[in-house]
Amino acid sequence: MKLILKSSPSCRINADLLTPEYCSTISDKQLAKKTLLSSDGDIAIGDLFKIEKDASKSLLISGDCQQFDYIGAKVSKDQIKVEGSVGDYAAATMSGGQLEITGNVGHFTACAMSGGTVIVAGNAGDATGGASIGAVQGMSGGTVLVLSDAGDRTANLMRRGIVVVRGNNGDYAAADMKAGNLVVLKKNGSHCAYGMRRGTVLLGEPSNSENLGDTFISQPSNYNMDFLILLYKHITLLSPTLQSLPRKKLIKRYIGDLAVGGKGEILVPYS
Amino acid sequence: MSNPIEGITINGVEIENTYAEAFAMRATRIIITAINYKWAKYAASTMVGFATSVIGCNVEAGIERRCKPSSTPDSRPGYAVLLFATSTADLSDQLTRRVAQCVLTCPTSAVFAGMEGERKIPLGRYVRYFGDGYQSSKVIGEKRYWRVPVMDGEFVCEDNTAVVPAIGGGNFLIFARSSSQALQACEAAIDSIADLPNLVLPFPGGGVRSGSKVGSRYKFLSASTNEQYCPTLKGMVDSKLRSNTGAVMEIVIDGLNVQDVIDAMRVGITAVCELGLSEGITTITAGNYGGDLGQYQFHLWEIIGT
Repeated sequence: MKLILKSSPSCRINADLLTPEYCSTISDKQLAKKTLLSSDGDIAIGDLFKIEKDASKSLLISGDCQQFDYIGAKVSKDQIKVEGSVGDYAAATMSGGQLEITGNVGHFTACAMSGGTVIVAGNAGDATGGASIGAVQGMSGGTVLVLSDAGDRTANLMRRGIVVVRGNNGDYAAADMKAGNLVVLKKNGSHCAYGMRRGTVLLGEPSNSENLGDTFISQPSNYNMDFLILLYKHITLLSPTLQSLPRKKLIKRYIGDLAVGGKGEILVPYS
Repeated sequence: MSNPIEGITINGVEIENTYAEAFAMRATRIIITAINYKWAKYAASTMVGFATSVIGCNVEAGIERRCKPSSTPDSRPGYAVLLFATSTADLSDQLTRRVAQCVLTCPTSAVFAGMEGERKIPLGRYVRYFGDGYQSSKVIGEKRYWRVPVMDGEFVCEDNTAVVPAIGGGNFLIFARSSSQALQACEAAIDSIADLPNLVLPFPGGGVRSGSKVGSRYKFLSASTNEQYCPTLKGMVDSKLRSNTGAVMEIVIDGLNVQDVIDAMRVGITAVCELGLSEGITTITAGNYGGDLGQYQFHLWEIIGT
């Protein structure tokens, strides 16, 4: 099915209803009459989108959807592709399937995600894979690939899963991380893994180790981290464009945050 | 090939009109990797040690094949190992014990599930406790792995592996004029079967010289030598050996599917028959218990016919 945005709305719209599963169960006329909650009241889907139904199980949304929040939030299987950018909370509570976005995403992407895959070709806002405001934990499963830059607090309070940022990343990445994996391939901001309890942060650029906090200590030896191969294989299978993962076998390992137990790790390849 | 009604002989080797009786088993495949083939082989061969028969070992196991780095989960050299047991509980117990004692202990090793399936048994789920609280879990995609700190770094193991129905005890026996000729035939059969997938020959080197019968005259022994096939007892017992039989050896096959066992038996019997009577091979037969114990029957004539 294809939904083509007629014109970009001025209000914020909750688009969590737009899942492949739901859209495939009703006719295009019924779908057109269904309404989405917006800051200006309910709006019919038919007023927002031109609907083109086909036999495909996947859902293609075409247009600039920056005003649409919660896209893909309720997806549990099948695929959504958005040709354009989307708003906040994309894939927020996603439990399976795939969400692919060719543009940018807003804040809190995959904030309570438990499964599936999100691929963002553009930039991501703050708290990607991190906890939404007031939540005690961030994403608890699945994989998020940001193929450009990401904002602050990426993987904040993350519980499980994988977040990969191919470009630069903001401050407080993996802050208060409970477990899971964050991979940043270019420059990472300050206060990385602040308050981290468990989990793994892999920093692709060796220079990123210069601004780690004092409560992370480097271990004296070099390690073959065999599990990284498993991680790399999984990531490159989802997006072959991520071949630039640090392939060096020997990794420098920092453990911390010692202020809260120190069972987390930051891995940095040697320069 | 001669008239099947009278009997089949191939290259002078008589194929008896009988069948191998085999049993329903549970099986799993795991992949053991290491820094090179040498250390992966150490781990794999240690793991399949003392795993010849469920009668005394609770499990039957063998190395199925060598795995190229491109085909293993962590892109390192490895070996695929198949394990068979009579119940899922036995298989699970033996798998955990053997991973803990034979793979975890081997330098640079790692272990992964080697097959997919709905029913799972623990692979590294309990082995992880060796980490004494310092172990950590990694969920990558749909799979959970454990990282257990050890003295050379980390032991990585997958949390579980699949368990599938399988067949244990496919077999055929080789009658020869002498022990050396029986062994030569045995080796020919083993070599020909070696490249076949989904099966192992769990006994030492793939051959068996101590065919057993059910029970014994001793209360404490549930299986004992099958005197009818022992050449030194000819004349003392109701022997099944011909006058020209000086030795018997057996090939036992455990496979994941019926067709795997059939293929292995056919390939092995063909290899033995190629040696022929001129190399002292007289007869091929198979072991069974009258058809009352095993769920599967592999008839030699049908197998040769296929």
